[in-house]
Amino acid sequence: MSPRAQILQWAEQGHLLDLPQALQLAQVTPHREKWQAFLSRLMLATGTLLLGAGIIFFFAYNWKGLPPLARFAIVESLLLAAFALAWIKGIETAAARAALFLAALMTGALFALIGQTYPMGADPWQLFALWAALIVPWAFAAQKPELWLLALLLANNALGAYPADLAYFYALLNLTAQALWEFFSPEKRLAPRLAGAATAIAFSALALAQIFDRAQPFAAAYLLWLPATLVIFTRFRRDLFLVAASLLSAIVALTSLCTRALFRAGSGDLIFNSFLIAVIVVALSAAAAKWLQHLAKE
Amino acid sequence: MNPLWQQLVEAGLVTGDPPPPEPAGPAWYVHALLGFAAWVAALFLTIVLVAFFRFEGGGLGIAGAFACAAGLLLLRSQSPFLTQLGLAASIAGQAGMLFGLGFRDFNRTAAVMAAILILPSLLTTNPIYRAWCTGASILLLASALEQWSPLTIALAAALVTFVFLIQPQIPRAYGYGAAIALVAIDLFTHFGRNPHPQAPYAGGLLAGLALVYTAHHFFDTKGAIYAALISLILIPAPGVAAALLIILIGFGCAAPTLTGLGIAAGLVYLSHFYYSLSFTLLTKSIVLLATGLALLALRWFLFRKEKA
Repeated sequence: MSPRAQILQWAEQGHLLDLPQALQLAQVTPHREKWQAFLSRLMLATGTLLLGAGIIFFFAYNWKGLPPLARFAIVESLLLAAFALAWIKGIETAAARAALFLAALMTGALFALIGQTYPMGADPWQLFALWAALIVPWAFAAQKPELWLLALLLANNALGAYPADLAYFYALLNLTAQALWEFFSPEKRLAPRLAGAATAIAFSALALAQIFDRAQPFAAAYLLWLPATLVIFTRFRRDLFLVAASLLSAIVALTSLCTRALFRAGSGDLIFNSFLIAVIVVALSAAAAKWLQHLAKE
Repeated sequence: MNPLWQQLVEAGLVTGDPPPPEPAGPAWYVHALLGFAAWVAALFLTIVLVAFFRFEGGGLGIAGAFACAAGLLLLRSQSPFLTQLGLAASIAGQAGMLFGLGFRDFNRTAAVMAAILILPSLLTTNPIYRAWCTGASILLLASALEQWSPLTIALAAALVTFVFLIQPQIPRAYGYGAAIALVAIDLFTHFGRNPHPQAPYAGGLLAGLALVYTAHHFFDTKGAIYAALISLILIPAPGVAAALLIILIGFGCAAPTLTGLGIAAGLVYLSHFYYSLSFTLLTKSIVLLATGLALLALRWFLFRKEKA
């Protein structure tokens, strides 16, 4: 058990007189250098994000007092300034990567401004898809997950805005992103975990579509994904977060299956069926938690 | 003897022999799985209660209280199945009480329930139940406050500060519950009615005060002054100040899950801030631009020496 977990356990059991002091003594809470590094990262990340959001909000306001030429000049100048800063600082620095992230946000603002000034009847999905595609080279250059995650978010938005049901593509897109992360950058777990959680949501949506609409042929995809994920992340690359996400997806799918079977064609007693489903959810989740605890001890 | 225990004994933070070793508690995602599943099971158990009593207020309320008490008894069990059933039954019981007693005046009942929900959480050591009761209590208060619901953003932030910094002997589950409630409020506030014109300012002022206190706790008077400057700009956007505060506390108190919740709260608030009708997009843009520039300038000012 880590010193942090051990101290928190003793605190929960009422053995400790002063929790913050105990955490400090065991060097669990950050010292001066760690605080400085953290604050520097926090201020840079939050400052960049708020600056980008502020600029997008400003152009969304569609201020009539500002002529179109001036609007384009502002966005393009900011875009160029962000690129210049990234160039000067060198791509390996945090400031340069933040500047590239700002440039990526400015690209979206520029597209929105073009659409606002010259309505061409383009669909929003095209904006998101083009935006995502354009920042991919910068993500390659930065070699950090932030821009890749933004590109993935935009690609998901493009699929969401597409005027047709693309449930399969959601699952494929997020699964591909997760697989690429697992292959090329498995040591840092945040990005593959986020992509894995998105994949679990997408495959759960496929399972629900199949359960409540028999015409959808998604069961095979789900039944391939679930055991494969469980085997990979318990046997070959231990990641219990992703196992928990898959188990939660299985609980949702099985509960939906039971709900459909019990309430099919309006038959059955509402009270009995609801009680039975509640007990099934309780049993499945208790078993899943017990298994996860068992895996954690191995 | 455990070397860590020995170290604590020498510092006078513990006395006597170390307690017998126990297995580590479940990870946060196991708690999240159990909490979500208990909530789903509670939805079905609530249907059982409501269907059985056919919306008869008094009967439903009393049955809800019994279910809540029975759930609390089950939470004492060592069996994972019975514990999870107890969690679901108790949550369903709370819903039964709310629906049973709240037919005539839902807001007043929500306010009363918000106050009394903390009581059952004191009768168990289950961290999921404690977090649930705290979060549900804050959300019920947000519902009862109607147009003044942005105040609950500050309340949730203040509660996290209280649990982690002012009274750290209080179990952290209460603080996690408040942080989860903050994410939920950020998600749902803008779907409700428009807040009172002064509500975001009041919420921003309170969240700012909590941020200043937190900065003073971790750093010094200078840190508190910088936090006060940022908080002043952020008054129309209380969710950003609250998120920053939770991120800071999560890092400073070695609670990475709390840091994650703070980041989630900030991103959710920001995406819904766009749709908030309390201010024009121009005002919101100025607030965000000013805060962003202030943070970047402050970073340059504070860390320029280290770079040199």
